[in-house]
Amino acid sequence: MRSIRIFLIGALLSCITLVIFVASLHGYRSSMTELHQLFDAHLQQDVEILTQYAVLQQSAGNSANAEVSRRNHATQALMGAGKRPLMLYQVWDSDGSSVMHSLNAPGEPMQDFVPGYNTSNYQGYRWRTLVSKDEMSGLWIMIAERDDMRFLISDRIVIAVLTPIVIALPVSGLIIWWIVGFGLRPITRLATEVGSKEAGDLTDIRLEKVPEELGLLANSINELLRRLEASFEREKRFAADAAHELRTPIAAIRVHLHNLKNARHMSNETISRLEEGVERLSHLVEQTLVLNRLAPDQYMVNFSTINLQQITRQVITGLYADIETKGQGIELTGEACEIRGDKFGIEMLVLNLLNNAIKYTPSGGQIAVRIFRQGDRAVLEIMDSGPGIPASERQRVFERFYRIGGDRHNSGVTGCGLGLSIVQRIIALHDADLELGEGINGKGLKVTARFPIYTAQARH
Amino acid sequence: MLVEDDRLLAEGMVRALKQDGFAVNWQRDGQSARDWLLAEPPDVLVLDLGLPDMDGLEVLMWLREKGLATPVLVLTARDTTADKITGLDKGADDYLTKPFDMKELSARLRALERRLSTEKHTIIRNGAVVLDSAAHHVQVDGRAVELSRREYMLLKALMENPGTIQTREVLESKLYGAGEEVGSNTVEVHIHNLRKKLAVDLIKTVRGIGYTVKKQ
Repeated sequence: MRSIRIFLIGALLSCITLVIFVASLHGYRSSMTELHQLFDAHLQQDVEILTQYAVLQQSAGNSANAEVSRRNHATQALMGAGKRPLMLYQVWDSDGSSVMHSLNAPGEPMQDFVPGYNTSNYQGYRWRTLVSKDEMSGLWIMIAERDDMRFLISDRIVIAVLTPIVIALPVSGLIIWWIVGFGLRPITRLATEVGSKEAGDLTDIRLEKVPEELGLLANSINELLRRLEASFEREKRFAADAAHELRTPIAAIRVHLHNLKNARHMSNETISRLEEGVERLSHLVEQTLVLNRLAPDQYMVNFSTINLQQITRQVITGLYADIETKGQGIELTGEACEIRGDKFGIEMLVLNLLNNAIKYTPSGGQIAVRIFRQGDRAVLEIMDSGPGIPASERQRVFERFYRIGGDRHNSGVTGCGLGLSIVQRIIALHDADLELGEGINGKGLKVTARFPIYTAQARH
Repeated sequence: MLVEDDRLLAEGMVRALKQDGFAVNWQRDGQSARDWLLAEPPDVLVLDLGLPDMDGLEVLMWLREKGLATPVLVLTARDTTADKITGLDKGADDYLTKPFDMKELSARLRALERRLSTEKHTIIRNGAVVLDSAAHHVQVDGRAVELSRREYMLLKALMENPGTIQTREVLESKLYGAGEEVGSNTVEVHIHNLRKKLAVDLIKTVRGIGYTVKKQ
């Protein structure tokens, strides 16, 4: 069912049409029966008149032929037999010879000499006949009337009755359209109310004068919203608690490790392995928490206007200690571009991409970041001079926990394989797209992220 | 003073801080922290936000209400930007999220301590360049260099934070007060002059981002 309104109108109009059709069929039939009886009664009357007239004629003898002929004509006129006679008659005596007949009547008897109603074909028409015998004089009277007249008349009656109904049909269609629309208006209002809610708005929907049926629906929606809000709230609290619960013991391990190292005044193999392990654990916890915080449902709420260049600059500034340690060169070129997004998400995106570039680019390598406009897109491009990603692997790196070459990564860099999953989720949340290509001088990796640009026009 | 409710972490921190030459008073909850803050105000306060009896921010606000200027480093597992801003607005001087590097904590504590007590007398050395912030005096290879006030402030800002990038915006805000007109490439001009006067390769440009001085 595409539209309740169209369905209702279609169904109602079809029903009305069907009912009218059945009713008119029935009306046509019963009016036919009525007409038949009426016409037959009329025929009977004509026969009686004709009988009296014929008997009178016979008893007067055959002397006054002219008189007969004159009266005959008078009868003709009476019976309305003109050029296209609708009625004709024959009178026969008991010997079977013609006593009199209308001008248009055939010479032969129209019917067998059996009294009663019947039909016969004559002059290309179908005729309703009535044969009657006058017992006193022994005369046979045969009278015929065009049968199609009856249908013609009953057709006219039915058409006269049906015409206004057929004209009324589109009018009632319009009226139904309006009534259905009026009746459906609360649904439209409810839909608008629900649809106009902001992504993160989980407050009750409020409708005034809601019909009973929709009241139930609105209540269920409100109930659902309340449950959703509670579960979001729980999840948020869980994330915060989990963060605290996970970070504190890791911090403790690190501090004790630091003390252990200082106490021995040297870092042996075991301690540095231990440090590596803690580092990995800590990284994994951080990335998992980030991934959790990027769940789309609790997310869109925090969208604001963001200067991509400014955020990137901040992230680079924050990471500069690592860049300097590895003796890498970094540069940021291009122009300021504004996008709509979540600050934390965009920060995480740039941070993860840059972290990868720093991690996988060898010491003394180059990292180039460029931000520019391209049509209606704001483009962030991060290129490095590291090993790059072969074209065949470029899809798989986005899978969670996937690392090229498995855990024995040939770059010797530790990681948890969540970084690009995080990046991809942020990309999806911002209606952006991501592309991996070749980096500086055809070597290394180029990551291109394209965001919908946010311009002054879009603000209105 | 260290206020931290997690015993495992706190014990490790106490030991590490002692090793770095700090005397540590460790308190486990907000109430005892308040009592000690009044009785024996510490030089620096390291404050965890998730305390068993109250939010660490309450201790911080209480401290500032009392008019105590004790530098506070907030230590927490919360890391959202909003949390950081709230912390700093409530009067924290620095912010470190768990899990942190002990060396970084020590370094930041020393920086806070320096800001507190030795604002008047600090000598910063970086390679051939020596900056005496008490005398507003700069020497390169023992040779005194004359700098304008803004050039001096710029050099100080860079040398105080070696190994980090100072963006143009940050440097501008340090050189000029609010509402002061800043030319579009003023910082570039000062840097250019500084380099000429110092005549050593100290200040490095990070293209598109800012300036940095190498860590020694």
